Amino acid sequence: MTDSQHQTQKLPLLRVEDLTVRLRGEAGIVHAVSDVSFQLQRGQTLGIVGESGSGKSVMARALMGLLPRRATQQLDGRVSLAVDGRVLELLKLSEREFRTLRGPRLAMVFQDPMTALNPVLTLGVQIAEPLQLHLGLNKAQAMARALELLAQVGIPDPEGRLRQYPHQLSGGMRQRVVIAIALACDPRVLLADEPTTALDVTVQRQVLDLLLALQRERQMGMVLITHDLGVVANRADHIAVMYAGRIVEYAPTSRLFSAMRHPYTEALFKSVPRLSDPSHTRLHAIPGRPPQLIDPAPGCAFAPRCPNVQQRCRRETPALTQAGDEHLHACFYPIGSREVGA
Amino acid sequence: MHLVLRKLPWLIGTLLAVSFFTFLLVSLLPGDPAVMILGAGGVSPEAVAALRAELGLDRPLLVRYFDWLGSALTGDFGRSPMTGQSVMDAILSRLPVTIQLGVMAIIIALLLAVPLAMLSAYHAGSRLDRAISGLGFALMSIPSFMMAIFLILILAVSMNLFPATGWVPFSVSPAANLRSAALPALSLAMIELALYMRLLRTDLISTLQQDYITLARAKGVPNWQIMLRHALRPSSFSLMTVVGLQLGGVISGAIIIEEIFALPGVGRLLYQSILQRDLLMVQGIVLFIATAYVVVNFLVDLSYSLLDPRVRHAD
Repeated sequence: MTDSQHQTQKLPLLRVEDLTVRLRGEAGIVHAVSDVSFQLQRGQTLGIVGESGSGKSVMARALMGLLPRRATQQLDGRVSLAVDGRVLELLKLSEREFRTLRGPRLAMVFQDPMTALNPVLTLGVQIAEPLQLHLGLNKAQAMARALELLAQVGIPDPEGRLRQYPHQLSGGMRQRVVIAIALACDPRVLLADEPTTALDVTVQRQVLDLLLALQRERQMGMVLITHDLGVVANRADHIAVMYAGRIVEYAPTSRLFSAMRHPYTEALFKSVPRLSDPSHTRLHAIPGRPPQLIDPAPGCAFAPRCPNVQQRCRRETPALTQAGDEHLHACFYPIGSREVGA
Repeated sequence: MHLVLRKLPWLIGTLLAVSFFTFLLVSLLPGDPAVMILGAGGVSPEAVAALRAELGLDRPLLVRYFDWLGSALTGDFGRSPMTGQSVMDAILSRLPVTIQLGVMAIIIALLLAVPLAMLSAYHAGSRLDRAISGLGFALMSIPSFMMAIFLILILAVSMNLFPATGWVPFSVSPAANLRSAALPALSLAMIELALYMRLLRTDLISTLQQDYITLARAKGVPNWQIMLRHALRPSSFSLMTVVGLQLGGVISGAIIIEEIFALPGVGRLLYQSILQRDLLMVQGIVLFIATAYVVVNFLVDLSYSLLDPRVRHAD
């Protein structure tokens, strides 16, 4: 990219470069995230899609500065967050500095609303806490604001709910509370880690639509993490497909669906059941098992399960390469290339 | 209040069972109380029989039980045949000492154990954690009477900070009272401390792995506030239970310590009554201990609902 192009492009809200995370596990060092790079603009949604164990959640936690300190073997790369005209290097911040960003700058919605709320504190207290902490509101002001937030996330009778405890709410309602907590201090970046996976199907859509509406209204940058391509299909501006801790394909959403290049993306796509399929159509499953992230073998991590696999794939790890405007993939023999089947 | 009504029948049933077994325990002990009172050698069978009749020992067991229970309910445990003192009066006059001792010990233990456990759990696996756990093990493996002797040697004999033995009632001089209770309470506290610390540390470590702790961190809550506000309360159920058990058990726990420090408490009374074969006194104290135990645990049960709203709303 030339200098002039660089200037015309807006300063990204969040820029991640070569993020690498290795964790100490019981069985060895887990290569959870390897060389992940992406950018997120204000008001945009990036969908990150991958199977469980692909490093999505670890990545989200790394961005939030929430990795378990003792278990973190390696945390490399650059994460730059644009805040009030300044650019903060998140990985270089002290724990104390990072803490002041969590809430007002970066916030996170967790996967399981049944376990994400403290069972012994009222919802009001849990929503008011970041407001008192970061915005310096007193208890009454914070509670008044918590009430507004509950109403904004679509909880009926918010006044009564403030004094209730998490166990008195359904899963969908709890997830709305988790979203209210995340939005309390008006964050610039929202990380939603499988925000609807633990919910009933009928509630999933409502919660996703709520997230999207709030994101547009507040012009947040959102990273929507999911294992389900269908969740991000109509909602994300860009999609990054993750496999074994790496981004294997990245493209604007419409382009990804019209011209996917990586065999793994295609396999994921095929494994989404469609209502338009005739009934009793066999669901396409990806053969083999998700990759081992402890002492990974050389070569492409998807090679053992890949329909297009060649000799080279087992020796070298393909780098993420440009395949057109804003479209990147990490495959030696992508879909549509001549060598496939040769 | 529902909770209280639901649990009350259990409380009463338990107390009845406890009283029956207490009564049985002493009645089934080998040896005739009348013979013990009169002395073993050279007593005429007529004298023994007369005393048995006087004590009511010639009546059937169940009759004697209900008779005893009926008086016990009115606070009358009978009179010690040795000293002629009313068993209830004897217990009540010594109870404040024992309660003060037990409560002080538990407070000291909690004041030390809670911060240490939080420190240990927060740094789980670190050198500090291992040092604190090691200290806990050491304290736990020292019997209370040894601890008492150590403390007397160091704090009373060498440093002369506290009196080695004796008791000053609170009404005489509050300061001197606290000084006289300090060493015995500390001896008891040291062992409780280790137990509390281990329990709370384990529960805290598992609480700290909960999602809601990560969410609290994601809100930018400082670590100390996470420990105090988010982690401590959901982690304190086992601790509450054990503190309750210990509170109920202070009398039996204090037997040896009261004897070592020559404190006029119920524990020492029990010890001396056992030595003197004062069965009626022993029976009264055992029933008293057991009742205290059951009632305190009933209260602990109720207190769970204060700690956990899920229990409160379970009705």
